[in-house]
Amino acid sequence: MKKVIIGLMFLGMLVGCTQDEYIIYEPVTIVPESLEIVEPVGLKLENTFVSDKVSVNVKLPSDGTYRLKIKDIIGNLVSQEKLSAKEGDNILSIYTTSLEKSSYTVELQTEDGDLLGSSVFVMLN
Amino acid sequence: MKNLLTMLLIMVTAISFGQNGEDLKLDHSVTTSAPYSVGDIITIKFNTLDVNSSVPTLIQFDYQYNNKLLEKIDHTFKLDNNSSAMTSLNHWDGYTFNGDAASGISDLTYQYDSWNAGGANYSANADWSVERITVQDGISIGHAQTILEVRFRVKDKINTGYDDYSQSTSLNWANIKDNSTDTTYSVWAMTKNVDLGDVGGGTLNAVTIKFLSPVTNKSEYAYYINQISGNGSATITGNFDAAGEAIISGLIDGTQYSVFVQGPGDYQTGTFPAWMDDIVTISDVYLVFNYMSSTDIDGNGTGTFDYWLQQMFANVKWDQNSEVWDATVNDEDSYIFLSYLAGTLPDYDFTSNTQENFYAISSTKYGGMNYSMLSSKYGKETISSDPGAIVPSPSETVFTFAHGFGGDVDLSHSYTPATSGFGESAKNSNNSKVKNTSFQKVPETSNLDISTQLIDGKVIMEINTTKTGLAGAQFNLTYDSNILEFSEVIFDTGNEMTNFANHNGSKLFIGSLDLNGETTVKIGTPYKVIFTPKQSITNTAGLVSFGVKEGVKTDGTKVKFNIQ
Repeated sequence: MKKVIIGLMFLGMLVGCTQDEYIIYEPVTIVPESLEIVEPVGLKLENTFVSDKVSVNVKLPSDGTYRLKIKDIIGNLVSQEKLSAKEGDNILSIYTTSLEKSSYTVELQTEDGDLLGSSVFVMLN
Repeated sequence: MKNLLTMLLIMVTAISFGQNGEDLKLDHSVTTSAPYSVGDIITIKFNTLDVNSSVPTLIQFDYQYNNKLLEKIDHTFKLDNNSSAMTSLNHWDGYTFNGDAASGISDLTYQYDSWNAGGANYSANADWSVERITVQDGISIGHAQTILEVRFRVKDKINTGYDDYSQSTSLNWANIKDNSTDTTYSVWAMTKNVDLGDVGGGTLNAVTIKFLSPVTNKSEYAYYINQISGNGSATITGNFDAAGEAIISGLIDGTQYSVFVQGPGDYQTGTFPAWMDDIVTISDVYLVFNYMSSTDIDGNGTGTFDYWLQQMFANVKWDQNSEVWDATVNDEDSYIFLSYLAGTLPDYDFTSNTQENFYAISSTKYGGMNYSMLSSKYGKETISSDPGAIVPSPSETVFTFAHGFGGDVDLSHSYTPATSGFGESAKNSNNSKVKNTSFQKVPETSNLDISTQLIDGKVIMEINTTKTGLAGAQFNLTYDSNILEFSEVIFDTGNEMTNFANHNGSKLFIGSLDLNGETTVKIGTPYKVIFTPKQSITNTAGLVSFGVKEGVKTDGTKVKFNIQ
């Protein structure tokens, strides 16, 4: 009888247990107000004046590979990143220590060369 | 009276409401009273004028000035009502703005948008200098206050190709916003171009010394003028302006002077601008090896250069016996060039004042080997009189010099002589034609893909090319050494190329050269550079920048890579 009671208790415990469910949420990108982009796609710098790096929001139409290009006054490419990023807001950094002190244009392009956004920044001396 | 009132009403309406949704105007004007004469100093001020209740917190615009007509002296930010504003002025010599006429060149916001979209653009033009002004504040930047004052000296228009001073300065584009609300304002030019009107002519008080060079950084060059005849006085020295010109006052009519043009840098401390490492590159080295492909019994090169000056510049080893710099090029010179690219030459001690460990390779390592002469004497094999001597007089007030750098065999940073110079003396010029080229002075261009990526915690830079027929290639990279540590270069250039990777601080020079010009760089991904981050990073934009990026074909022609 004792064994039956123990068996019933064990069975009851098993029945009483529920299966744990783990829901994996996509990480949410927190976009500071200074980097918010209203348009569906685009690029926005946190500041026009830059010392060694500046935060940038690149808002993308879909997951994929894109190019972040840094150009000088006549459009010569001085630095380029090939970037895999997701749809929507992506908070990244533009590093400027390797660049000569000057003013540059940063461009966001698709792999096909379509321009999605651009902005001008100035390096502090 | 009625007509007058109507006119006033129209004027008030125009001023109040502007044109085409205009929010504000950007103005620039001369504050110094006309008329002007050559040598006068004028001040140009910049300010905004409100049209439609604009409250900007960011003001950014480009303007350009004609450096043949004006010499910039200095600038001062004023902004009396925004004393805490951040300000910046960027300067570029040798470019001009090609506006987009579709919406009128006075619509400065349209020009900015068009420039960003690739319509309006900048192109190389030695006559113009561009300046970018940026002002940002946490509060509204008030209108009608002077933002900036720039002082210029008026230059003589003689021999400039300009008939008047009607376009001395010009506004290019403007990007003016209220950052707090992300509102972009429509900006029009109040005065698009500044016209100085009639300018009085020059006198002996305004002698012009100018020099010829393909380098755009001409304002970094200096002139030295020594009096030769009469009672010699102290040296007159100073820097050239952006056009490579200097207006000198105080020279004596009929007196002989000797003028020398010197490239930039401080020879006491051995400090030189970074661009001087672009002077001697793979294409110079290849031309020297090409020249040395045939030699005489003494081992001296018997190849051909198009210009005698190239031969002069290829001799980089000081001859201890003759103790002169001559134009004798031998095997040792060619391998010194190669060692220079590979980064294995010793440093020179600028305080030693000896020739030990010195090579005539213009660079940050050895400084500039300056070759300066009157343009009529420049590049001639025989010079029998002072090549820098001038005698100013009221009928001769403009003197033109030419400048080159030792080691610059492909003349990329040196003026190219009008004639070959072989067998020519300075007193008997123009008796020799340039030979059929063994190399094309005009470089080819070729597209290239260089980009960085963050892969498995490493920063990988791949250089991809489809260009065939390259006997050599060189890439000068600068990286952020605070964030990255250089790990290695993986070469896949073919089995017979001589590869080099010269690592110095945050600079990395990599490339390849086939000394015989018989094999070529493999296409695909010949170079892969790997860096290890010193700290956590999420992306790589701007961590590595590209300087020199060029190749050389087996016939010696330079190939300039256009990065896509």
